[in-house]
Amino acid sequence: MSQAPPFEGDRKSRDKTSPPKNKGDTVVGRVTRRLRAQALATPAGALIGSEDQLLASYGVSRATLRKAAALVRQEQLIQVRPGIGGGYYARRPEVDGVAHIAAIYLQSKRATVEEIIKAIEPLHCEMGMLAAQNRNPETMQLWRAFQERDAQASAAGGYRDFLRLSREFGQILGIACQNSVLDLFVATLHEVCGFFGPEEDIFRDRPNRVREYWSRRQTHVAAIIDGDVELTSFAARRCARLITNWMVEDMAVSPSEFAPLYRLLG
Amino acid sequence: MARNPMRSSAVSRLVKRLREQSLATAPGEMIGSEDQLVATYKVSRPTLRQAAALVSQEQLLTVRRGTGGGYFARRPEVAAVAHVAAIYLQSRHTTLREIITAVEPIRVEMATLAAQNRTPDELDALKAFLVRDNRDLEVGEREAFLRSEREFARLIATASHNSVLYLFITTLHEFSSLPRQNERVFESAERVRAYWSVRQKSLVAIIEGDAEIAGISARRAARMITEWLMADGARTELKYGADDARMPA
Repeated sequence: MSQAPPFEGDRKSRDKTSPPKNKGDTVVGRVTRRLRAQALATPAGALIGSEDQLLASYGVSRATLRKAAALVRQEQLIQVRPGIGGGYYARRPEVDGVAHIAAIYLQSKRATVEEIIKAIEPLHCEMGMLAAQNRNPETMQLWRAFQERDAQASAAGGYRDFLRLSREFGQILGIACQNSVLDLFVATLHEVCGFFGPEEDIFRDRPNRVREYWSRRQTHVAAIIDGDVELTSFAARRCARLITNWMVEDMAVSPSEFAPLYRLLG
Repeated sequence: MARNPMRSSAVSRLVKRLREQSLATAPGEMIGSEDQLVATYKVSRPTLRQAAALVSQEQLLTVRRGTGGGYFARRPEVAAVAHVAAIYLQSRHTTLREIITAVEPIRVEMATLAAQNRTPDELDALKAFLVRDNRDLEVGEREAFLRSEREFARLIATASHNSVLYLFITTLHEFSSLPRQNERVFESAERVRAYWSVRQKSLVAIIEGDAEIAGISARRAARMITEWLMADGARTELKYGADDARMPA
């Protein structure tokens, strides 16, 4: 288990690698905030301005503008295109990109598989409960269509179909829960799981597990469609527990002895 | 980053190796000079630089030019990662309601894990906190409560020993308006008392190692805040950072 660092919620100290929003008084800090606000106010893909235009409007040196631009670029809010027709273009961060940075951070903190599982379970559960409360007709349509495809594929019980429909399930759940925070957090944890190799795949060459999990998930989906919040919560927990148990079985370790993530990544 | 444009496989292989090497090197230590790495990896300079740019973006690498320069290992800071995540959420027009809904299960899980994972030292700190907190609760003064709420959050985050939940809760704290909203909720003395005594139950359960009661009480406490926030009409879109709103466009 990794040692959680002291809580930094009140952000008393930041080192120089931290984002510059606390350096409120510096010129780079001010230009960064201004450029960020402008990027967010511009439609994605549209030109914010050429470098010369921005230099003139901010009244700063090229070096200052470029320092600020590097920071806003790391936030994935701008794209800088050189040459003719070039300039600073507005962009929106992709969930994959943000999840990747967060996943790398967790890897560097030596986060364990157990920590990942413990975090994913309540989040999945919450998403399911929110999805069950979302009675939007279009979303219901998505679920019903999914349920139909899922029932057909599960009759054949193919492993590839199972993986494909698992991804689809995650996507629809992300839409149906209408919560971009939970969506981002779960995407981060899936990105971390993407680091696992095939030998960590608990479903590979285990048709019995695929069948069991698949039928449990169908109960989960049916509960969401019925709008049964309590049953959804239970079904989500049960699915998560199955995965935990199989991981423990495969690693032949107790849950508290899960390997640090970094050892799985090799 | 699956949706990024296709990169040559030489670059992505090198990214993996550089990442591993950085993680295996103590932060601040040199991984190697550019010439050394070109030789070790047997790649061209542009390939190395492309890979280095990506690993730098992951905050695992610092490149210093000039004499004594080279590639240095670095570790991402939780604040910087949380910052990038918070900016993403702002660009998605995330509402306060979404944030609160996400905070709830995280708090519950943290309380549950704290009851299971606290070390003897942390247990001592929690007990000392309980003694102080009981005295403050008697008086029921709002400022003391807000102080104790912050300390409680810190203690639980540490005792839960889960860096994933820690990262997520830190991300949500990046929204400076969230703590402020949270504090506004506690304007009435009745609310402070009602919430404080439920939270106290969670703390006692964590000390006793009763994970289930810790979780149930934490859920009850979190629900109170959610309901009050909703009743107060907190359905606005969040603005990230206090200063941004004042910036002229």
